[in-house]
Formats: sequence, structure tokens, C-alpha cells
Amino acid sequence: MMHTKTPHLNSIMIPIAIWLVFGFAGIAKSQGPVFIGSPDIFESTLTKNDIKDIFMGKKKKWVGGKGITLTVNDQTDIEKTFTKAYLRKTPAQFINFWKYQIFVGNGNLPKFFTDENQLIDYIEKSEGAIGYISSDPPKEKKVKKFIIAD
Amino acid sequence: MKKYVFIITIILISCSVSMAVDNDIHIHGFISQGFLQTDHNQFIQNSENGTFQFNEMGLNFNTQITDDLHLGIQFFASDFGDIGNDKITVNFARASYYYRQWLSFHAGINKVAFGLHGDTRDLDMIRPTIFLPSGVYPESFRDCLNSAKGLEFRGNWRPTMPEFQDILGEFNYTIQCGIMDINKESGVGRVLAKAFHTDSEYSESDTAINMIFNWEPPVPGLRLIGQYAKFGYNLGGKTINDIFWQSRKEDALSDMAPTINPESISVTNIPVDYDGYIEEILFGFEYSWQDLVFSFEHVKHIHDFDITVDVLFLPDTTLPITVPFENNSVGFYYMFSYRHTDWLKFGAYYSVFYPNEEDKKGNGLGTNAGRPDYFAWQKDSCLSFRFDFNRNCSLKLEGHYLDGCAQLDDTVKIEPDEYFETNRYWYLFAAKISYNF
Repeated sequence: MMHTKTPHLNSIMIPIAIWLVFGFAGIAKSQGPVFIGSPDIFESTLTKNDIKDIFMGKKKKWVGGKGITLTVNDQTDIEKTFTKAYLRKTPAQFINFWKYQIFVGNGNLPKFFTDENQLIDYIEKSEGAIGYISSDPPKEKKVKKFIIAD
Repeated sequence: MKKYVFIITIILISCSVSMAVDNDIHIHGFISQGFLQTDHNQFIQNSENGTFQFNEMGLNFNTQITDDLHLGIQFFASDFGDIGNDKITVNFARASYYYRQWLSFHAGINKVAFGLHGDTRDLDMIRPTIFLPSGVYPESFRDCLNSAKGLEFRGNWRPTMPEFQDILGEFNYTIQCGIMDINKESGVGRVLAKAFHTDSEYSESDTAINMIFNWEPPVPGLRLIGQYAKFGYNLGGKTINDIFWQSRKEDALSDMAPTINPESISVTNIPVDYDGYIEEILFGFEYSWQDLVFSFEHVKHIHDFDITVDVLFLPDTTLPITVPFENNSVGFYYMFSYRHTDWLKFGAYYSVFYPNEEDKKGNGLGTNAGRPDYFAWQKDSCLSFRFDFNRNCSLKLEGHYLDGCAQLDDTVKIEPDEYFETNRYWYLFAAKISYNF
């Protein structure tokens, strides 16, 4: 009996092992979004719910009372990763959500950037701005990197 | 003429706005043009021959005055057969004050929140289908139930402690209080005049209260909704000469005064007044998983009125008689949509509407007198395809298979002798192209 089962088990276990090794390696390689903000923002740590509330327009002010200026990194890969991981939406659903907000009078559209360097420059020079980028910001840029807690 | 000036304004602004990126006043707008055709029945005027009287356009201006204060105004015009006729209206014009995440105030003309999708009715670019399910979102109601002048409070809340968040999830609420403009030419005015078999001469509404609660339980992608709305309404005019009023007279005489000669009393073309209120109770849910969204909603409209008829005893004596009138209409739908690629999305729904909950089979009770039985229901099966050329432009194509005509005469006036010329089963094809910026 054992002789007949072992090859069958191997045929299942080997692909799973391969997937675990390479799959996790792939996941480990793909970096999630890095959240950055203007240097005048008091907060250093944000929760995932804070991120969701901010990018869904529910939380509009920082702790000190300063208004939040939203930016969106409009590069396909990072936008997809961000909207899926933090908002449980697709990029199309996220854009649609903001169009809805505009046309029912609930606020202004976030600022969209297709160039990450321009986004970083904008956040550095603006007050209360937040955005996400694909990797750590250059050291010479005076932007705050948020710690994200669960 | 105004329509074309409005369109040209939208086009000019859409061309220039991309240059004014950092302007403090944000300008956005949209235009959509549709086409409708039915194989039988006039869904809107001339729909059997195909009609382009089906469009929307809007232009809005938003500005953030301070970190707390936001101003916005949106001008809107639409045409849907006899409804709208491209008359420019203010869709919303409001000042919004953000206090905390759990409370913001909005004063002015607010969009009326209704169900999961009610406030997207004018926004073709937002939703997967051209028509919202008519069982819950009747097209005829859009012109007057879209906006209300008054106050709005909204906010969201979740427990601060993570362990409670995992149990309770998140709550959102919207409370609105204000006046809706329900004039006699509006969709609601026409629907009620039809239900009451009356040529309306005046129509006015009292202050409305509208409360919506959303709960996002700790099940990712799930959202539950509950809503209660109530508004007072007064409509008056003259009774029309049809079988409805004739049968009411015969019923009344046989019950109360069988000795009176029916020929000595007239109940047609005499003054009638309806005073009462309408309540709406809605519940539903939406579940989204990746590119798939499934939703269900059920609504019940409760009409509770006192009808005062100035019964004419020939030749010239009138006697006002007041009787209560109660009627509940119900509707529901199931809908799903799926985004297959960045440019292709498809959706489908099944929507049902009964104008009289007590008479779902059209046995002739109440308001259905003088109409075929299939005016007691409308069941709509819809399949829709949406093609996104880019983020700003889309084309939608959709087909509907309808059983019943309960909402047919909401948008087109049908003469009493034309009701039996309608078809129970009919198809509707719709196409719409939309642009927004």
C-alpha cells in the first residue's frame, strides 16, 4: 500500500514545495507601497485603517488639524498593489470611487502623478500631503516615511 | 438653445481645465448621449422607432476654502423623453464642513442619498449598466428625488480597539433633512396622478427626512445597507373620466345608498385633493470580490393619504367626502458586474416591481382598474456590456427583456383606451456613450 501511495504524494508535494520556495521568493521580492508624507505632518505611524480612511476620503485632517492633501501614484503596478492591499479595490474601482465623490459634491479629486519623482517633489513642497511610492524615497528628499502598523 | 450653450461651455472648459492644473477651483464635467429602442410599447416618446432623447450633462465647480470648509456646485441637464427636456438645474450646491471623521455637515442643495446607487443615477460613468434596476430606482423619479434643499449630516465610525474592530467592523451614516421639488410635472407628480386617476393641477411636498445606515462587517468586501425616508405630499386636481372612478362610484352607492339613482351623481371631472405622506424602507447588501460585485436591494414604498372628493349631486350640489387611501408598492433586484479586462466590463440584473403589493397578479384591485393585468408588475432582465476606451470615455450596450408594464406609463402618458394596445412582453435596447473630465 505504501509503495502505491508514495509516488502519488510526491507528485503533489513536489509542485507545492516548488511553489512555496519560488512563490514566497516572488512575494518577498515584490515590495509593497512605501507611504510618504510632507515633513510638517506630526504623525509617524499610521494603521492600515488610517490609510484606507485617508485614501477613501473619510479622514480629511491630520491630528494637528491640518487638512490632508491626497496624491495618487498612477503607475499601473504600484497602484494595483496599493489599491488591492489597502483598499480592497481594483484601480478602476478606486478611480470610479473618486469620480463619484466629485460628482456628488463630496470633495476634490486627489492629485494624480505618473512620475514618481514628481510625486515626491510635490509632497516635499506641500503641506499635509500624503502619497505612496514603490521604494524608499531618496535620502536627500525631505519627506516623511510612515511606519504602517496593522 | 440653452442646451447647446451648455454643451459648448462644457467642451471649452474641458479643453482648458487640463492646463489649469493647480487652480484653486476644480472644474469637472460629463456628457452622455444615449439611444433607445423598443420592439413594442413606448418606453419613452418615440422609443418604438428609436430615439436619441436620452442624454445627460453636468458641470461642477469645487473649491476647498479652508481645511474644514469645502464648497461645490453642479449644474445639470438631462433629457429622458418627456422628462427633463434639457432644462438646466442645480444638481447640488452646498457648503460642507468637516468636523471629525464621524461628523460632517453639508448645507444647501444636497444630492439625495438613496440605496446603494441612487445618487449615481446622473453619473453614467460610475456604474456598469445604463439603467439602474427600475424595481428600486424608477427612472421617472429621478428629476425630483435627486436633490433636496436642506441639511445633511454624515460620518463614519469604527471602534478604536482592534479586537472590537474585528467583531464590529465599520459604520457609516447619512442623515438628510430638506425639501424636494415635487411639482405636478415631475416624475413623482405624474406617477401619483396616474395612481390616483387624476388630472393634477397642483403638487407640493413637505420637509423630508432621509436616513441611511451602512455597515461594513468584518467580512472583507461585504457592505449592508438600511434606509428609511418619509416626506409629506399634497396633490390635487380633477378626477378623470375612466372606469376607475365609475367603479368607485358604483361600489360606494351599492354599499351606502343603493336607493340613489346613479345618474344623479357625478364623480368625474370634479375637484379632488390627496394629502398624506410617503415612506420608503430599503435594505440590501453589496459584496465585492476582486473584479466581481454582487448586490441585492429591496424597497417598499408606503403611501398613506386622505382623499377628499367634492362629489357632485346633479345639478349643482357638492358634498366633500374624505376617504383614506393606502397602497404599498415593492421592488427588488439582484445584480452582478464583472470587470473582465481594463476595457471590458459586463453586468446583469433581474429587477421586479409591483405597484400594489396587495395585487401582484393584477386581479383588478385598487389602482389597476381599467388596465390589463400585466400593469400590476414589471420584471426586467438586463444584460449589459461596458467598453472603456480610456478613463474618460466609455460606451455601453445593453439589452432588456421585460415582462409587464407597471412602470410603462410613468414616463409616457397613455390614454385610457390605449392600455389594451400595449404588449406584455417587450424588448428594450439601449446604447450610451459618455465622456467625463
